[in-house]
Amino acid sequence: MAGEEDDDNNSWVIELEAALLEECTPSEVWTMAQGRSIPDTLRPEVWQACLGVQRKESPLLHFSEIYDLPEQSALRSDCQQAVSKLGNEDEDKVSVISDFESILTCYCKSTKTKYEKGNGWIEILLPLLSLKLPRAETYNLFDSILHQYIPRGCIKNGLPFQLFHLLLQYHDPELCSFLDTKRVSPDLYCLPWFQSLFSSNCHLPALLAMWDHYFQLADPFFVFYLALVMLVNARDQILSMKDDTKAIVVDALSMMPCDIVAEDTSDFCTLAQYYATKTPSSFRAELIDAFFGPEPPIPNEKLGIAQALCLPVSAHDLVFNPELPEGDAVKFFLVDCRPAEQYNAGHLPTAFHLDCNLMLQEPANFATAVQGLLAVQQQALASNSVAGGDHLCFLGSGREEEDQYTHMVVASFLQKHTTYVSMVAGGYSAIHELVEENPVIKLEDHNPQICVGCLKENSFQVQSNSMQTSTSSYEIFGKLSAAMKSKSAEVKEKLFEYIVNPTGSNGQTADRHVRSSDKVSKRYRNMAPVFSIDDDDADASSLHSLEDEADQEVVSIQTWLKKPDVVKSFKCHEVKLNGYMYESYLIVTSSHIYVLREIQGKKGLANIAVRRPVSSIVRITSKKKHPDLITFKYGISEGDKPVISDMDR
Amino acid sequence: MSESYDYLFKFLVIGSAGTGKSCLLHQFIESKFKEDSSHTIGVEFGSKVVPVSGKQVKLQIWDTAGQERFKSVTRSYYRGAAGALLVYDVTRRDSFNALANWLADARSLASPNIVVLLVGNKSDLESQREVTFLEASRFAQENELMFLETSAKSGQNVVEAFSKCAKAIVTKIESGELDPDRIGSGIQYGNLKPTRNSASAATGRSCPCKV
Repeated sequence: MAGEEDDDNNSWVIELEAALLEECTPSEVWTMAQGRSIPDTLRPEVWQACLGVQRKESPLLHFSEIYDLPEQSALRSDCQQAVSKLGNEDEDKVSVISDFESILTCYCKSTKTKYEKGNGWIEILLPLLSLKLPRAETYNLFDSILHQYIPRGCIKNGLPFQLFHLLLQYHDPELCSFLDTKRVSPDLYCLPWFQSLFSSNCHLPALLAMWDHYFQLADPFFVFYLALVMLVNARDQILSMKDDTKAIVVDALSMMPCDIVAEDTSDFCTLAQYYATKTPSSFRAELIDAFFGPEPPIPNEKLGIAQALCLPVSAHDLVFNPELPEGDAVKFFLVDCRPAEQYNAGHLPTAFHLDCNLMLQEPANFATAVQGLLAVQQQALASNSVAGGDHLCFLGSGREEEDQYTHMVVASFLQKHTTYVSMVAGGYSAIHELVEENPVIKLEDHNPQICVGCLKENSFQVQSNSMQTSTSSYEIFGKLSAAMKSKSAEVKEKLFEYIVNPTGSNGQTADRHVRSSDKVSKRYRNMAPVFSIDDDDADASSLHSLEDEADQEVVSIQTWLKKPDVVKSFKCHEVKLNGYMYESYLIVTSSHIYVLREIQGKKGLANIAVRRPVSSIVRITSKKKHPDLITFKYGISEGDKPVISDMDR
Repeated sequence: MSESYDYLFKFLVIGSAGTGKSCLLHQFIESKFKEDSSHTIGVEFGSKVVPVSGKQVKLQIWDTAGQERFKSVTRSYYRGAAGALLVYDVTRRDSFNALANWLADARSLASPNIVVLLVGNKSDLESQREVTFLEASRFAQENELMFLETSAKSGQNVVEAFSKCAKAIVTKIESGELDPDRIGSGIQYGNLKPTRNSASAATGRSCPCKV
């Protein structure tokens, strides 16, 4: 490989060589080598540096050389077998075998572990031996790899394989489902990969290059992504094995690493890194102690991941994620699956609401709501909003009685082979806790009176609540104005002005106007559930059918636009709950707000889709995830909400 | 909702992985066999109105995943189920041997009164049979279960299985043995009895005070 590289590309080797004279960390090596394959001459030193054993004293130097393990004979014969396959000269063989046995025996004794046939140790030792280091140093490398990189629990159905299953499901649900249906669980093919870092199945040159990359990267979870890429690369081949038996599939999968050649490893590892960046990383914190390092493992059943339906994302990661500087970090599209009344009592500003109960009660509407969800997701992605993201993260309440429905919805997405599906660990309860600890995070529509999270903690406060109500609506309007100010869309601001002015109280800014209206809090409280764009909800759809059928006046658009009391008009789209968009005109007069919906095929004519007194507008909001959408909420009789999408942009 | 019914029953379909639970549900609702069925993730859901003893009964059926991995997810669906189809595969003894565990789960997590019908599925695969009809009947008798052998492929006995289970529940309601008003009974009154709408029963799952 080195021969293919240009001279100027080799400068890093010289740099690296110099750096190795002093202590250097994996990340320092990485900056120089960028994951490239290390020249054979430097490899021993690079590995020692990366694995942190450069100056480490080896327990092997103090080894008693007493070979009296209970499993000693098995160990010895396995060493002999392994070495006989190496094809060394006969005189070398004896010393190699004795090195093998000393290292393994010493390891068993100093770490008080037991050698078991086929536990991957010999496979890890073999490539280390090719470095031709003194055996004490080989021991240190071996010890370090086992502790840093081999996940604990590599047993049938062990925790690492459950994690791998979730990762595979996250990135390729179809493939995952195919293998599950074949009953090919990951431990059947991944176990040797994980417990030997692929050394049991890869050819030596490829393996050395892979380990070069691996130790530089120093990501203990990297093996999961390597395995993932292995599977996803071969997905077509795997999916074509539809009619083969389980055993054939397992064999084919197990042998896949054999096909990797040294030239492929760079691409292979880069791909694996790409998958790693496209995966929410919450599981790492939960599992790192269970898998790696010296700590005694936490009993598996205590870890939520063991039986998780999909990959969990911690509330912290969800909330603070957008602040990550990296460009291609995981971006979530948050789907709030709690019942509407809970959602309306407080939710994250970026949350899209999908009512789980719809799935039970009105499957057809649920399907429409899901389509709406995906459409909004696409729009949010296209407009690059903070609420946009290609990773669907579902939020339940964190309580079993509601989360069974959340699970059902999540399962339906997985069943449809939706990629990038995760759930917030602990649900809304976890988010609520986080909000209490970090006042920086704001919930939208948060009403402590009915918010389940608040009720749980401050049930005594509920009695004296009249003050709270006004405070909470006060906050909402404060936020509303903030939201409005932050949107630069010119039209929207104009709109706001016009709507504010006709009702003409003394307020100059939006929030003061609303605050000065003393009826607001009451009006707000008396409202039927406040729907926002996301509340695709059974009640809302019935409202709409009413609205659709009731008195539809046919009018001429031009006549209306020229009416004397028209303050301003906008061409826009009206977005219905079901995701349909209508070419419409939004007309603001001194007393009313109208939406004229163009009648298809009859140019210039329109139905009056909405007719509302301006004074009845309680809230005008626009979602961060889609700044072009403006939501009007009215405080009369029933909540209703045409959503206007501005066309001028 | 356009369909009208007297009662709504919450039903479970449980049993080991690969016994054909989803295919039974599919056959029941769509009246066809689902070729290329893949394993169930977590839970699936279906509903259908069937006539039972002169009443219209809407069955709300929760088809759970048989895989051990999903236990913690599927267990949450047991609560408040009125009836269950406990499914094994007549060609796989291990699925029959696991029945006692599934049954214990259903009785402890759903309700001790849950009406359970034992279903020996894949009766079309006579040549591969590992569990005889007689043996399964004995198990059913010992555990006070109703029993049918079905074939989700041919459709044999599939509707009967669901109807029979529903009928047993209706009988219990009419004899007063089951009280539909009890929270967690898994039974709701339908819209054909407007005096008692389903709201009261629905609170069973949505009221925040209930743990």
